[in-house]
Amino acid sequence: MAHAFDQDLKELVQAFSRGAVNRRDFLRISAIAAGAVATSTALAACGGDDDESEATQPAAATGQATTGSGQATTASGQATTGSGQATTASGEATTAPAGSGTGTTVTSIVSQAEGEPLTGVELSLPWKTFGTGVVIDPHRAPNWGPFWYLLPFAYGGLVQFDESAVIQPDLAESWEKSEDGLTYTFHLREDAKFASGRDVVADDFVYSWKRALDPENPSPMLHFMEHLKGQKEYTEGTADEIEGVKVIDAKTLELTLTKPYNFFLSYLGTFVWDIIDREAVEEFGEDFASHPSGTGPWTITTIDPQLVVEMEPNENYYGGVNPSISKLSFQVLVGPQADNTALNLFKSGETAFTDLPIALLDAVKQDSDLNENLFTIDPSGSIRSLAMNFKLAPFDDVRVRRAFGHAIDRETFGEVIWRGTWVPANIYTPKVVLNSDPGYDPPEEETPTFDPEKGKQLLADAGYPNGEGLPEIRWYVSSESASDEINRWQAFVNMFKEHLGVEVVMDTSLTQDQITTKQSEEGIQMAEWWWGNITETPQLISEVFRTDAPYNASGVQWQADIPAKGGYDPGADAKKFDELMAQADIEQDIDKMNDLYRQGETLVLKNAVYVPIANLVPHLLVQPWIRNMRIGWWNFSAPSRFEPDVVVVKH
Amino acid sequence: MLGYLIRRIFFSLLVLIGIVTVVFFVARASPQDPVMAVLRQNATARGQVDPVEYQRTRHQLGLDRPLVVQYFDYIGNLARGDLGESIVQRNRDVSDILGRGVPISAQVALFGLALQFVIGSFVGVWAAARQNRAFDRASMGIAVWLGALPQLVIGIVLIVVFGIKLDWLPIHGWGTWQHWLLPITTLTVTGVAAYARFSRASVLEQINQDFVRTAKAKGLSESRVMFGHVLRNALIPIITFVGPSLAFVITGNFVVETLFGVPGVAFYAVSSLIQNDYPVMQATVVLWAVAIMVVNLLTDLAYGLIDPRVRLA
Repeated sequence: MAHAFDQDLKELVQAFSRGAVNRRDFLRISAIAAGAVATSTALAACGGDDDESEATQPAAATGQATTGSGQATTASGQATTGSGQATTASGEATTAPAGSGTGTTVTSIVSQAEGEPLTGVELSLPWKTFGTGVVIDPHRAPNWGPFWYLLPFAYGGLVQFDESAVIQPDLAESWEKSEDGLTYTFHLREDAKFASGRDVVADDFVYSWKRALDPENPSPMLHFMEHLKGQKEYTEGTADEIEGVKVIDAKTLELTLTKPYNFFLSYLGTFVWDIIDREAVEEFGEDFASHPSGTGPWTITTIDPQLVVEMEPNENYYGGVNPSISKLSFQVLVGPQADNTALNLFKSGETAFTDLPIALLDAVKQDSDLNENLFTIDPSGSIRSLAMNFKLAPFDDVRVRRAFGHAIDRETFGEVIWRGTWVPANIYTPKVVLNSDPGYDPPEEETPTFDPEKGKQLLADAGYPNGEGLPEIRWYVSSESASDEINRWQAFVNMFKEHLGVEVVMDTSLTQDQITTKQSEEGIQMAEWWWGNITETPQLISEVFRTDAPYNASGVQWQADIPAKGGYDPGADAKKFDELMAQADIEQDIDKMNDLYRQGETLVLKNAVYVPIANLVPHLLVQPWIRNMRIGWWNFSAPSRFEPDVVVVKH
Repeated sequence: MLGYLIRRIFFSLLVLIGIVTVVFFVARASPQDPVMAVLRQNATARGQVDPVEYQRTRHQLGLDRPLVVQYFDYIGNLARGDLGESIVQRNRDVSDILGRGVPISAQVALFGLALQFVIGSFVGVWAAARQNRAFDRASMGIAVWLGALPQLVIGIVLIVVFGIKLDWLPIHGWGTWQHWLLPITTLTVTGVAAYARFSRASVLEQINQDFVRTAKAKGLSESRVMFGHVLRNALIPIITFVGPSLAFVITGNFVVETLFGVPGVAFYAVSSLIQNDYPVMQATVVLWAVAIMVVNLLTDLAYGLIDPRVRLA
């Protein structure tokens, strides 16, 4: 129902407006962002990806049909050897000398351990759930990082993301797009089977998507299906079929969109589009997930929501059976010990990788053994930014907004305050997009470079010389935050004092829930938001900043009714932005599309709608004894699903 | 005896109602909003809260009724053994979650406690019998040292040594017998010191009593004096010490279960706190209260059996 859909989007908005973001929140937020936003995502709990590629011309934009083996493949790019040890980085990797003690920075990782594969290996993978309940069901799971990482191991759909967030074939071996960009025809693999051995046919998709869009119980990920014609009517209960889904024959499926959205394939790769075996649901009801029911390389055998999710190779997977790993155990890690436990599991050789929160970085860097296995991923698809509310003084004046943007010392923010886990960003579009869409030329004018003098001048122009006369400005950090995190945010707000003379009050009296409620009910002057990218184009700006986007409406309120002031007309710019995005999202010519997005991003920067601050640099450890495990920005620092070529070698 | 029992159970129930009441109202006074905890499970709901959705969820949880009505409903459900449903583990009854946790906590705690008791008492009695000799000094020195180390430290040391450096044992999870070893060893090592010192002190106190001297004067053998007279009396304070520890058999040990990922009751209690899972959190507190009361009652009854001077009336 549209009702639910609108609600979902609206509610998502504030997911991103928060005063404080710890790692858990980060993942949470990124996940939500990814889900909601059309653009880019990568949500998950971990991972990284990169984008290498030339191979990343948006298929939708280029209109080329894509075929492939159905297995996740790493884009070729300019492969570069990483540490010289067990791992190679692909893409335009910046490499550190082997054994430099600082880890190796790469755009993505395909582990290259050499040696004879072991057989019958039982391997653990850390699975941090970040406070959410375990829902193993692609049509019921919320848009949360951990699910983006785990579900693809057991479930699949027409297409899938690789570790660089590039769309690859999965159950569809090829597809064509109509000239008008509205209709896609997918050809299913002849050998596509469910784990039970039953053939996958087009009707299975219809069944699954109806389940996801069930008017009584629609998926929390519904918004990823909103571009499908007839979705709204079906979910509202006014239609019995989804108009935009047509079964041509058992192995051919046609999808029709409401508009020719050029990012559609990226949305189609999200797990809400995955299929589950109708017979398993009918036989086992809600417990279907712990029985063979998907099409991925693995099949789930045990779900203990507080402890472990176990999987064994799916013997009917079209890509074959893993010859080396006989069991995967996703260790559910919650609570204050989760990060330490993950690190200990890595040290003891039980897990193949682990991500590293900032609190553990020093310990790892000082350990020469561990340091050899440390990698960082850059660029990433994450953008951290400062959101200021147009409807709340003093941020109703664009000059004040811009002044704050010029007061942020991004080098200090990333290198000192956040210990190298962030790198400065002056544009909003995440840097991975510059790789996946090399034709995109981000705006250079209007960028909020660190320039205190310019900031002071703008503030004086707005009538607040040296910050005099400004109303009180509050920065909320959740009362549940750890003290080092609070200290980091204190250092952040101190920048405004140091560079502009503006005192920003740190308020740690509210819980995250209370901050969220405050944000919805009365708005918050300024907050920090994170986004993760899932599309290959700069579409994230459209999803976030359009005046009808929930993130905009509830967070910054960049609306057409804002009056002009001090030489800026944010209201008129908001209207113009809407027009540009309406064209950009459906433009089939990639150059024109890029130009439209560029104009749009220029307006965003000019009005300081959000002020970009930094891009995340995921840190992770990778074992030297696993081959072909692929990690890129896509899942922050968790691997893509293990295809049968992922093997453990003698060590 | 029967009258005593009835009276004790009656007062225990009063205390339990008091605890349940406090927990109920404290949970409601918390700044954490259970409705948000539910909505958050929908990730889409984190952020702006749609008033309609909020009210619907609030109604589903029964939180829109007057607090007093909610309270009596809760008490009524508790009396029927209905602990409600988990917020985080959707569609799972709290009793099902705790039902899975209790046997696991019990296994770990019983083994740990038994080893603490057996090893600790043995060392303590042995040391007392050889007061001020080398064994006494060495064992009590070690006991002081071990007793001063928190469980967390010992647990981490064991993880580093046996899980990481030697790589002999799994450090997280549950399932095989190997998973038992580190949690139980941690419990044993931290508890054994207290038992050793306590039993030593208790035995020494008895050894100097007149009746012991009399027994020795009668020409009884040393072992007969020790087992027939000294230990029986020395046991009373030790049992007082064992009693509360038994409560952990039901509720589990917070540090050990969290550190080693042992899915017992304490493990769920910690996760429910972190995840704002109110029904589970309340249920674990109630369970703990009940366990402590039962154990205290049993301890008092045990006095009567061991010490004829204690009359339960």
